[in-house]
Amino acid sequence: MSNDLKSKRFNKWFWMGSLGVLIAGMSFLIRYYGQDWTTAIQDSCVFAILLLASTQVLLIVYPYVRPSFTGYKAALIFPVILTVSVVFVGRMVLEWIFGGNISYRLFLDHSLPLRLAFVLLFLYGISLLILVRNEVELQWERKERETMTDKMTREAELFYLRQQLQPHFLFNSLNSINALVGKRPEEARDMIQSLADFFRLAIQKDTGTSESFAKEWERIVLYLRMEKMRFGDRLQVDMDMEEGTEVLLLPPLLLQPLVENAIKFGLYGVLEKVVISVKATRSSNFLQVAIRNPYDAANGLPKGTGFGLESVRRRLYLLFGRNDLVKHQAHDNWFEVIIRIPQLA
Amino acid sequence: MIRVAIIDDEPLAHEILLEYLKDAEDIEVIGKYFNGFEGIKGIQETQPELIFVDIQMPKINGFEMLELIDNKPGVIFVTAYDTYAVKAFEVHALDYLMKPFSRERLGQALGKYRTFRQSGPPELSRVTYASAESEILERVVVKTGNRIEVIPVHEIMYLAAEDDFVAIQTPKGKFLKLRTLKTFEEMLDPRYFVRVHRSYIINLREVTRIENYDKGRQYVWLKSGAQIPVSKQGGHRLKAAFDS
Repeated sequence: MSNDLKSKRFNKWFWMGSLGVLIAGMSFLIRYYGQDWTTAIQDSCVFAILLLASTQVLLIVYPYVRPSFTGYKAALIFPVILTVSVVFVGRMVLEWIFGGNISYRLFLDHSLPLRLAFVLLFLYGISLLILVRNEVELQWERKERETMTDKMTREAELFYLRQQLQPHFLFNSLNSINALVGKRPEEARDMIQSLADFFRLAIQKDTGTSESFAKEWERIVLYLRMEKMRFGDRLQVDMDMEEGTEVLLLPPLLLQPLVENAIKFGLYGVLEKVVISVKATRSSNFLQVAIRNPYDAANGLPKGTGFGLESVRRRLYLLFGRNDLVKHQAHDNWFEVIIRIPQLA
Repeated sequence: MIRVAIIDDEPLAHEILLEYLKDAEDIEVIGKYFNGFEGIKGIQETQPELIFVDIQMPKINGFEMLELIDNKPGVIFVTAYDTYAVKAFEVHALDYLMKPFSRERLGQALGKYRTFRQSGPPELSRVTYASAESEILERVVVKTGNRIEVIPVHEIMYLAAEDDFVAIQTPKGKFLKLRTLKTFEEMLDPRYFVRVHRSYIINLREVTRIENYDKGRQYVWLKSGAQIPVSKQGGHRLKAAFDS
């Protein structure tokens, strides 16, 4: 708040100062070439105001022109157009003011090429300043966003680890293994292997900002397999991955919390058998994943979807600058989340 | 023989218990149930004297299931969570087994029950769940005849004290629960529920208007058309709740 005020005040002084400097400089110049002081000051006032007005126009227009994006043509042409208009308007105004003064009109016409050159140089200079400033700001913003994304990824990893390493998942699995060891040692072995593979994938350190979908998929498969062993016939898993999606990329650990939600709200929200379905498809430039679980509308929207859905939405927004990548639908007896991950080729 | 029942939603959790219990000659497993609803029905029918209960189960959890059982058997909780231990002992559980548990640890729990049984009829688990509930209540379970009703708190219109019971008014009708209004007042989210009278708690989202009669008598009208009296103190609380 106070910063804004400061910058507003600063702005005012900046404009007044520039106006003063321009008027002083130009008046001296015009006086030097033989006009009297009053004429010189009036002349330079007109041009100084016009120059500052064009600067304002450039300030407004340039944010929509990204030289690094659209090329430098616009940045070259704008000042030329403005220069011609400034000199044209300036001359009109001055002719109107000093209509009867023949010697001044002569001076005005003689000085036109010089004026053109001066205004053009001035406006090119200003353009350069504005463009550089905008570009720097853009870079800075991009960097800011990158750090945010990194932070979110790290947070997701941390949350995920805490969640996984939250003892109950491990302990419940160990309890299941304990039950299997005596009678069905083969299944016990299978479960130990899944548990080991799963944890190894979960604590891998080299997770960058994106990983292959194949890896995320493998983790989900392992996770659901263990849950299936625990809950037996009550849990059915329906997984389908379209061919070609395995090489697509996504931010690490993006889907895992959503799958866990699906399990949680499916298994603990209804009494009947539960079918969890995870479908991955590729459509134009997107990897699309739909996760569906049964749920009981009478319970209300499941609490705690909060972290899962919101964090996924936020991470995708930070990465791709879009808000339309996460959709969810609650029907009478099932709940579905659809995630689309843009593939930047 | 000690007649035992198991209530757990994971089949493998049943298996390990059964395997361990097989060795105890004085134990007979007479019931295996896979959720709280089955559990309530089964326990009513078979009347076990000792039950092993998981906490995280579909729809209603282990604590909520115990609330709805009339002749409470001895309770041993079996769970992977350590966070409920305090609450478990507050509802007078005999023991709290953490998954995975060893044969020896189960033996200890059974030993506890045996000594308990010998030293006279065990005064077991009259569940006073309210004080154990530290977090904000999200749902209430009630039993009407053989039906079990799970009421999400946001569906409650108002609560009224009726003798030893609290009448819970919902769009589906009125349900009675053996508890005091005070326990509800402590457990419900104070942002939405206000005790406006010695005998009433209302859901603020249901309020349509507040009327003042002569002699400072006040009433609130609810969406359902119900008219609830507001005491002087209740009026202050109501005002504070709407102001915040």
